[in-house]
Amino acid sequence: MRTILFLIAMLFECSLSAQTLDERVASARAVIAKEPAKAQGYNELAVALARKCRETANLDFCKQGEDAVNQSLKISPDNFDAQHARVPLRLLEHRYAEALEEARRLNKKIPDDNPLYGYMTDAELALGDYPEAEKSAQWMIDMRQVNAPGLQRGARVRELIGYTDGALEWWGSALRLTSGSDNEERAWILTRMGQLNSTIGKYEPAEKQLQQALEIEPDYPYALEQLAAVREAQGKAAEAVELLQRRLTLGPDLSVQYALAVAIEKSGDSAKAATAFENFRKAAVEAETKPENANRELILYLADHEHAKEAADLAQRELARRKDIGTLDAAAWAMYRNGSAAEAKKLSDRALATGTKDLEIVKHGDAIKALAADKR
Amino acid sequence: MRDVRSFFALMMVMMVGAPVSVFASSHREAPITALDHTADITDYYAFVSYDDPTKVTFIMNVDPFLEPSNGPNYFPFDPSLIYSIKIDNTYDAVEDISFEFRFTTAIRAPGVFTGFVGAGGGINAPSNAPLHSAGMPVIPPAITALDGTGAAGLSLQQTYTVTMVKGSGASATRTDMTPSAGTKLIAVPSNVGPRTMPNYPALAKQGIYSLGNGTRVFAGTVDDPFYIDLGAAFDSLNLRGTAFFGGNVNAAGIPLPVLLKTQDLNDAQNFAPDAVAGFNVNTIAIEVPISMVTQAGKPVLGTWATTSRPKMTIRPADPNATAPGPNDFTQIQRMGNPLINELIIGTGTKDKWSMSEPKDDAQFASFALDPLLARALNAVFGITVPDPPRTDLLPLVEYVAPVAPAGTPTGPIADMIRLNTSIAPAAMSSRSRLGFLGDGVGYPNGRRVSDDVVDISLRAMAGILCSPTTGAACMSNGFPFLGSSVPALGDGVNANDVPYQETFPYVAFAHSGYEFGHVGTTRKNCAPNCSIFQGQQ
Repeated sequence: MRTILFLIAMLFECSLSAQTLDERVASARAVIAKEPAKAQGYNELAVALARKCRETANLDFCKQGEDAVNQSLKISPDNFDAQHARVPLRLLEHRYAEALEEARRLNKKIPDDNPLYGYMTDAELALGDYPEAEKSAQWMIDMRQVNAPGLQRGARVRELIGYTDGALEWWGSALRLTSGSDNEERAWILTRMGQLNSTIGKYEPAEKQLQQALEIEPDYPYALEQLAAVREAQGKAAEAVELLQRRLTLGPDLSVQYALAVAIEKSGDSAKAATAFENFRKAAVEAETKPENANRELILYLADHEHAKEAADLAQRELARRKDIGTLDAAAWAMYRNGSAAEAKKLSDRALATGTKDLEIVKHGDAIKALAADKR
Repeated sequence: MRDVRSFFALMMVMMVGAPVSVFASSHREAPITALDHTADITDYYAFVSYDDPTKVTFIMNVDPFLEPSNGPNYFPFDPSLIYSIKIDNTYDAVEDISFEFRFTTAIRAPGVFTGFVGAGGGINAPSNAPLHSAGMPVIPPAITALDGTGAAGLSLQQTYTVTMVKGSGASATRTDMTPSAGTKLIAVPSNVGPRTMPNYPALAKQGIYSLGNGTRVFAGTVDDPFYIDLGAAFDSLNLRGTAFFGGNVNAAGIPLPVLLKTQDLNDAQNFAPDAVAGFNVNTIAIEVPISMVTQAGKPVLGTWATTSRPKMTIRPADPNATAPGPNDFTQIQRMGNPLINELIIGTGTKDKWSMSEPKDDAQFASFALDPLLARALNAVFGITVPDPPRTDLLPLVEYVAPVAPAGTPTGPIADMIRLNTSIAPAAMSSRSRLGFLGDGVGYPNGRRVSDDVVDISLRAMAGILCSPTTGAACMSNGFPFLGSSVPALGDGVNANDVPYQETFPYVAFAHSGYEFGHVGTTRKNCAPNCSIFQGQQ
C-alpha cells in the first residue's frame, strides 16, 4: 500500500518548545493581535500552521499558512523568514518543483541556513533527483552532525538506496535527539521507522513502532495508514479497513481512499471494493493535475483493473512531472500490464538501480524481468 | 586573459545595512567552528625559514584563547581530527602535497586528578600521612622530559603521526613520515608552572623532532603569536584613534585610526592593548626543504590549512568499518589568508566557505573583491576607498605580482597564502611588521609570525595596493585612486607581548599558568599615552 507518507517528504526542524501545536498557533495569533503591522507574528503563524497541517494531514491548515505568509510579505515584501516558511507549506501541498525552486533561491542568499538543505532534500526526493537529494542531505549533516532533521533526511536517502539498517539507525538517533515534548515529531519519526520496517517485511517491529506513535498521538493519520498496511500484510484486512476508515474520518485523502479500496478487496467484499475503487477513480482522475493528486495510486489501480492503456498514458504524463522511485515503479507496472515489456523493464531497472529493498517494488521488478525474458 | 569582471557583475551592494563585522585573526569566526573550538584554525603562517633560506616553514594554529592556567587537562589536540597543511605547486588551487597530523591521547596515570603533576625530585607521604601510607610516593618528580625519565608526571601524553600525501582525493598516495622505531612524536603540553615544569623551554625544545630529509616538526601549546586590539575591532571598528595615537579626527569628530609616523615605525611598542596577550594556542609546525614542496624552476606555492572530522556518511564505503578511511572526513575549517572569513565572507555564508575548497572560491569572489571592511572604513571614518571591483586585491587570491613573477599562471580565484620561496628571508634587524609593504618579504608574500596582518589588511582594504605601474589602476568615484594616498591605518598594536624565536618553530613557547594573567600582560608594552589603562596594570 502506498500512502501519503510516500509523498509527504516534509520534515521540520525540531522544536524544543514545550507548547503544543495548538498553543503555538494561538501564541502566534496573539503576537499578530498585538502587533498587526509587523511581519513576525505572521511568520510564526505560518510555521505553526505548517506543523499543524502535517500533524492533521489537513491541507486547510497549509492554506491558512500560505495566507499568513502572504500577509507577512505584504508588510515586508522581501522578508526572508516568510519566504522560508513558505517552503515547507509548498512541500506539504505537494508543490515540489515550486518548493525546490524557492529553497534553492533562498539557499543562494544564505547558504548556511541548515533547514533549507533539508527542504531541498525533501523536494529532490519527491521529484526523483536522487543524486542532488543525497548531496543536499550529506551537506546538511556535514554542517551539523548532531542534527535530528539532518539525520532524518540522511535516513530517507539510506532507505532509498537500500541501506535499511543504516536508515533505521539514523531514524533512531533522530528520535533520541528530539525533544520529549515534541509529540508530533516523535510520532512522525516512529511512523517512518514503522513504515520502513513494513516495506521490507519486518512487520513485528513495524507494528510496535506504529503502536508507539499512536500512543503518543492517538489519531496520528500517518500511523493509522501504516498500521493498516501492516495489518493487511499480516492478512488482517478487516482490521486494515477499520484503521483506514478511522483515518478518513480525520480528513479526505485520495491515497488513503485507494488504500481503503484495496483493503476492502482483500477483505473479500468485492462489491463494496468495486464501489470504493470507482469512487477513488473518479476523484483521482479529477485531481490528476492538482498538487494533491494520487496519480501513482491511480496508475496502479488502472493497470490492475483492465485499463492498462489508460494507466500507461497517465504514467507517461506523470513521468514528465516527476521521476521518483514510486512513479517509476508505477509506470513500469503500467507498461508491464500494457504489454510493453522493454519499456517496463527500463523503468523498473531505474527504480531498482537505487538499491531499494521495498518489497513491492522488488516484486514488480521480478514480474517485469520475467516477462521481458519471456519476450526475448 | 580571463575577464574578471564577470565574477563581479553578479554581486555588489548587499553590504548596505549590514552590520559591521570585524576581525579577530580567525578566532571562532564561523558558526560551525564557534561550536567546535579544537577544529578552529586561528592563524596560518608560511614563510621561508629565517635561519635557512633553503627551507620553508608552515605553522597552523588552532584552538583560540587558551588560558594558560586552565587545568586540569589543559589543551590536548583533538584525536578525532585530521589537521592538514596543503600545498599547491601547479597553480590550480588543488593540493599537490599535504602534511596530515593525527593525534592519540594516552592517560598514563588515570588515578591522578590532573593531566600534569610533579615537584622537585618527587614528594613522598610524610610521617603524619593517613594510615600505612607514610613514605609512599604521592607526587612524582617534576616534569623535565616528554618521555622516559622525567616524564612520570606527564599523565596526559599526546603522540602524533605525520603523513605526507601526494595528490588529492581518492588517487592520492600517502607516506608515513613518522620515525619508524624508537622515536615517538610527542606534543608539547602547556606550561603548567614552575613547580611542575621547572625548565619549560628545555622541555618544549624536546618537542622539536627531525623526521629526516631536512624535515622538522613541532606540535604543542605555545604563546599565541597573533596580536590585535580585539575589543576595539569588535566594537564596530571603534579603533582607538586619538585616545592613543594623538592623531586627527574626521569631519564628524570621530578619531581616525591613523598612526603617527613615529608610532608606525615602532615595531616594538604598542599604543593600544593586545587582546591576545597572555593567551596560548595550539600549534602544528613543519619545516621542509623548499625543493620538497615546489617544482623545479617554479618557486611560488599556494598553501592553506584545514581541519577535518570523520564524516557521518549517508553511503558509507564499508558499513561495517570500525574506523573511517582517509576519504571519510568532512572539512570543518580552512584558512589561507588571514582575516578572510572574518572580514570578507558574509555571516550567512561562513560555514559554506569553511567547508569549501579553494579551487571553488570563484563563488565567493563577490565578497573578496568588494569587501565589507573597505566600505566600513569609508562609512565609519570617511576614508576614501577604491571602487569595486577591487582588482587591487587580486594578489591575495591569485598568483599575480608582486608575489608571483611574470609568467606564473594566475590560477583560479582561491584563498591561499602565496609564497615566493625565491625571495630570501629578511634578517631580524630589517624585518618589518608591515610585511611586504615594509621590507618586501612578508605578508602577502607568505605570512611570518611577526607580520602585522591587521594593519596590513586595513591598509590593503583602503587601497594601498592600488598602483597603475606596479599593481591595479584604481578609481574612486570617477577619479584615479593611488595607494600612496592611503594613511597609516592601524589598530595601535604593533608587537606581540613576548618575543618570537628566531629558529624553528619560530613561535614563543607557552605562557606559564602559574605566572601569567591577562590584565597586566594585555597592557604590556603599551606606550605611556595608553593612560586609560594605566590604573589597571
